[in-house]
Amino acid sequence: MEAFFFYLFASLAVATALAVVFPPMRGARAPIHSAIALVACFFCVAATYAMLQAHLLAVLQVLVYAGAIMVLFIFVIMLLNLQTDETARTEVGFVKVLSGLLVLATTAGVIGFLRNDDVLLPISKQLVAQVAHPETYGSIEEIGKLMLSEYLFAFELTSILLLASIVGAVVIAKRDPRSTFMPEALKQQLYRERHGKSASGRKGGA
Amino acid sequence: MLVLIALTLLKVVGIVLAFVMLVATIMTWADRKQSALIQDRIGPNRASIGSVRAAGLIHILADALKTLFKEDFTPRDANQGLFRIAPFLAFVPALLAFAVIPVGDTYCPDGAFIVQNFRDVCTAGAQADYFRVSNMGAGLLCIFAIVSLGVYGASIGGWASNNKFALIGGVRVTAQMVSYEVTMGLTLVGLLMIYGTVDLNEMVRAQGTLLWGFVPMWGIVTQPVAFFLFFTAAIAETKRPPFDIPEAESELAAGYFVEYSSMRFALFTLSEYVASVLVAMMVTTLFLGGWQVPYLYGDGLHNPMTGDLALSIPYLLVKVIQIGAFCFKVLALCWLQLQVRWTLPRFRYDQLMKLGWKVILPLSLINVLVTGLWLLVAA
Repeated sequence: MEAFFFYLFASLAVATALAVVFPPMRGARAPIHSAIALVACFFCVAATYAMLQAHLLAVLQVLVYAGAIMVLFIFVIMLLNLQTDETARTEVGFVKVLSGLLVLATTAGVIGFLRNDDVLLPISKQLVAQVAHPETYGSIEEIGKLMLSEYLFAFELTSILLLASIVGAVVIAKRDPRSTFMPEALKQQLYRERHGKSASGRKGGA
Repeated sequence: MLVLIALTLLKVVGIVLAFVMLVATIMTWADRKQSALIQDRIGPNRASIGSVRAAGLIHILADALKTLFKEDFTPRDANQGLFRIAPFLAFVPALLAFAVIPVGDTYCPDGAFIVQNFRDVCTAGAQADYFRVSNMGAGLLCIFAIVSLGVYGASIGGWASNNKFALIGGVRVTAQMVSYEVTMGLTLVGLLMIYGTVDLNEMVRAQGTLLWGFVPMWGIVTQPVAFFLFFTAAIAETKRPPFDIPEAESELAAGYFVEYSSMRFALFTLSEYVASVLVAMMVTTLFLGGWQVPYLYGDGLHNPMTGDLALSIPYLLVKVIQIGAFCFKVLALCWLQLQVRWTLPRFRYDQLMKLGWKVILPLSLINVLVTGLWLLVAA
């Protein structure tokens, strides 16, 4: 039973992840299909978390990624006026080759990592803890205690990262053309907007 | 295994179909009657079976039949797949969230229990969760996760319609729901600090505790500011007036569902009513003591002054009274939402955003701070 659902959600996760990169539709509508496939992928990952007794993680995965971040992604895609020439770029460039290599290296690293006994031992200890205390394992109390004791440093570092991104978002949202913080492309777009040259008409469903 | 599945199905039918859907459909009627009362009209009263008009209640049936037999129209340039699926994306999360709401307390087998620290503690065997569909521990977070998905139906429906009114409605829906979700989450932090649990039934049980010996520790007593902030933000999440700028008839025709017809249109409107029932249930559970009746515990009414049993009531009858109290509170809050909906005019878009980000959000942060200080001083 458990194995069946695991393979079901794992294969669905892979399929939807592929659908993110290769959306079923080309052109201006492709980005939103990619985004929806990504939401579906998050759900499948959340389902596998739930099967690993990590209910809190599963709920947070849906709440934060599917429910908040992807909503904003779709919001931005809906607001942006994507032209076909921007979305249909398929040529292989330096960045794409580099990111592909990085993905391969990460995958190889993870596989090598999982073969290491230093890693497997704590994981097996976790499994023992899970069997011994099924009712508290993965609960909010346990995770909260770990976050504020053993992983306090990483936890606080993450909050600094979030603070930096909030400040960055505010700076960009201020939209002052004289600001030196603003990217050149955004400056030009603002200039066009202020001098009456609106972007070309909407096409398709965007 | 089979017993578990059958029991779960029974609970789903009992709670979601028999109660939630019934209240939601009756709300469509009550909505129209309420507006008629306020505007000095008679309201719907024409539909009849034979000579029975039942004060317009037959209109519920008439509306359902009418929407079922209307043409299910899809605009030619709409995004076919997403356009068709969007109403379901709106409706399913609205219904899913009821899975973790406790309609009644856990049931002690053979009625064997003792009242300890203001709650029933089973003495023989484990307590059974007959009155909520799922007893997963992170219930409150689960509701938030599901509610946050409700925005997809409206925003994707608006986008896939290939209509400018619908697109603007979809964009507004996203902005509004994301803004008010933040506030909804933050207002509850105070509750979590006081009751120390995210399990909804545990939270309701904790609300049966008596403060200074006679005041039930309901959420509205311990967190009065959070009650108003949460209720406001939750009404905004339902997209119903005065927060209905995503559909704003006077600006956007019908907003994000302007292109929809037939049952798909009905699903969008019905999901707003279901969301209203959900708001009523959440406010009841979190702030109005859920199924609690003041001073009523498993064995009967207690005298708040002495703590002694004042009136003995059979265990099963207590359960019935508690479930009845829950239903009564939910219906009262549904009525209150209708009253708000027909009393206040619609906000402007900028007013809505200002209210969300510059008034309610800072107030909820202050509420968290004050609650923390209070707990620190009390401890």
